[in-house]
Amino acid sequence: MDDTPKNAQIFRYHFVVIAQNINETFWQSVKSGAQNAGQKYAAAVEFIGPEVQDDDEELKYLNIAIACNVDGIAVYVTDKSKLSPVINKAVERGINVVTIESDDKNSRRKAYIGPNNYEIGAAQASLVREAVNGESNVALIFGGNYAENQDSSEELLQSFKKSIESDKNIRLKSVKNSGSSYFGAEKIIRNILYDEPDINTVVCTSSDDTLEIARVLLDLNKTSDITVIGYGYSSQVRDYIKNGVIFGSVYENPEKTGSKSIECLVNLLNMKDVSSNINTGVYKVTRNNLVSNSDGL
Amino acid sequence: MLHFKKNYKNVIRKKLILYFVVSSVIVNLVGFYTYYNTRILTYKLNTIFTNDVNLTNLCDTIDSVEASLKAYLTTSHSTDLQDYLVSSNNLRQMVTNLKTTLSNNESDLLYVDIKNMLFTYLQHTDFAVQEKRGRNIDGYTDEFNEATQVYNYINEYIDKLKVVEFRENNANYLRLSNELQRLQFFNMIILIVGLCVNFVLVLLFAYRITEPIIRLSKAASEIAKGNYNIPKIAVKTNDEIKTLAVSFNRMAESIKKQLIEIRKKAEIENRLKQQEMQNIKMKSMLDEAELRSLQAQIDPHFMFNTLNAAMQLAMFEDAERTQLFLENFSNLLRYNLGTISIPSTILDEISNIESYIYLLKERYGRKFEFNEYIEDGIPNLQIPRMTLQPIVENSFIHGINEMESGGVISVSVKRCGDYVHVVISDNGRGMSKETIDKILSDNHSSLTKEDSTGHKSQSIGLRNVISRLMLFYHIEKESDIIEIESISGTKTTLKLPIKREET
Repeated sequence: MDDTPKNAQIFRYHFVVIAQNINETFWQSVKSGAQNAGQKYAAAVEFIGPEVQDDDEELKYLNIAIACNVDGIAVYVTDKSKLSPVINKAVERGINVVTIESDDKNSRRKAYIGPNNYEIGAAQASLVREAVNGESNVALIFGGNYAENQDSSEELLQSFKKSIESDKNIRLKSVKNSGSSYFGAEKIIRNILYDEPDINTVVCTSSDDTLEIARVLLDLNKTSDITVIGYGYSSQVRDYIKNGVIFGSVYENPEKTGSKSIECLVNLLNMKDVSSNINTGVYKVTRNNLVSNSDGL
Repeated sequence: MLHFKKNYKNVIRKKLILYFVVSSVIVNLVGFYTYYNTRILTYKLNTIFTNDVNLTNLCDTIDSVEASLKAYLTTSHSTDLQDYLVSSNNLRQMVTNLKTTLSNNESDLLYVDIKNMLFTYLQHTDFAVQEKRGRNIDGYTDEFNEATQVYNYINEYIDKLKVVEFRENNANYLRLSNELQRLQFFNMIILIVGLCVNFVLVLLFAYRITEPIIRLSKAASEIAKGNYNIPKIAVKTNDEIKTLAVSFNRMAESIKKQLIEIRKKAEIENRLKQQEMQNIKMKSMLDEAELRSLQAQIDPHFMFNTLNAAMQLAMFEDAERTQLFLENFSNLLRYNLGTISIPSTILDEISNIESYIYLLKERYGRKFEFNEYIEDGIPNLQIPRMTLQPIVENSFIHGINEMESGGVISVSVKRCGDYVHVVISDNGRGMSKETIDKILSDNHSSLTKEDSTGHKSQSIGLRNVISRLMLFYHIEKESDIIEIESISGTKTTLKLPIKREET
């Protein structure tokens, strides 16, 4: 409670950012990016969303935002079939909606802000290639923003598959989904270790999954058995890369997603032309370029 | 003076009032500051709870809207409609009056959201009632469902707001209690500082006002004791005390002046008295001399007639010496019998001496010689009658008389600066030092005393001569008028000032 009512800034705009999972490190970064941009543009930013990934709850928050008659909504699309009509309803009522991190191309959203999923898939594939010594059986674990059956996940998967097509040594053995539930990734990695011993490479799509898997591998002393391609650029992820628990990591810039979404919503209110697809970029890091990248974010 | 007074009228009172006002203003400011701080704190504490009360009211109103809507939609009773209209109006009023600010503060944002949702809610409920009246079943159920959904959201947000406010209030309470502690500490310091400042000011003021008064009173008591030599009192302030000090200084000054004048007057009076005393003295001496001469003046007419007859007899008998003798004797007598209080002149005195010496010579033959020297152009000074003859007489009686022959008496009159020196000397046996001292000392009995030879002096004594000369010339020291040397013979010098002060 640092902000007392007295010295709180008075804002002109009122935006709502609906996250997939407000507790995740990734989304906390989005939040700080959005709020910094809010300060800049005199926009009050409400950051809401479910505690654990939940389609229905997200729907509810979208409805609340509409009922609140806010000036703009940035929403992470979990389930297109459920969210699309509500997005359209909001737009009908004159509320600008942009999608972040996960898109819904067929809705009447004004823009998508986030990384290009094809680029992410390609980056992950290139890290797998870099890491491989001989044969590599890969398990791709969806989690975080990449849930099963989402457009974004599908795009990533397509890109990944296409990137390893030419390489005979790399095979995508299985695709899992941590479901963004608590301890989902832990269960998956245990299952892999005991039930699918041929898998020696794990590719993650969420920072929290990456950390969980690395922790389990350390606990079980199996770090040498499994090569982990992580996701995210938190200090913990970087520590694991430094220690060799994780080979490398693909990451994006969640703050940029947050700030760009607010900027986009402000521009929309001011009737400025807005690109319908705003790419926030994809980056990768391994032990070799850890130091040089350390101040990349 | 009047102008001066007007300018500084009641300054000291004004000053005192100012000092008291300043002092009490300081104390009151401190008090007011403390009161003000406490007030603000109390207000802050109150706001914590008023929000809560408002929220509860809001909740109740929403519930009543929802309930009346439900009732109307199910029963279509006009009373329920009435209830709905009243309560929805109520709610609309409340929502419109709800003050919200768009900020990044969590509770502020929640208020904004709730307000906006309430408007949306009321929109839906109104539509639902309209559709119900239009008997559009699908329409009103849809709107009712929408309204209920929003109603649930609102309740959810109100709950959230309560949690947030509870958290904020807790933080606020902690902050306020910290503030209270700080404030109390600060108040204490302000109080102490204020008191100290006040104390210093009071001391300063008291000192500034009383210090000159104390100095004045000290000076006044000095004057009362009789010490008039006090330094002037300087007062820097422009007030009644300055007026007082200035007047006091003037008073002290004039007292001093008057005192000096009184002293001068007393001195003059004293001098006048002395003068009178001298005059009286002189008169008494003259009286004595007169008395003496009167003794010798038993029957002057008879004596002069007899002398004249003797002179005629001598003339007829051609006895020229006898005639001259008688003439000189007659002159001597005439001079002696003249009024003694009228001053004579040196030359008259000298001629009187000549007559006296002539008689002595006729009597004692060539027993002694008489020399006389009178400088040319000697001012013929006024001199008391019968002053030189007694000295010559003394020279003869005490100096020459006992000598068989060869005695010399000389008289010389010379000018010596501003004085005329009359020197009478003889070559007789002289006088002892003691006798000289006795003569020169102020011994008034010398007039009638018997001298060492047992010869009772019928003439006016030397002392009388000295005293008269001193009184006449206003000389106070014997040595300034007379000098007597006696080694072998006696030399008496009279120093007569040419210019004597007129009295």
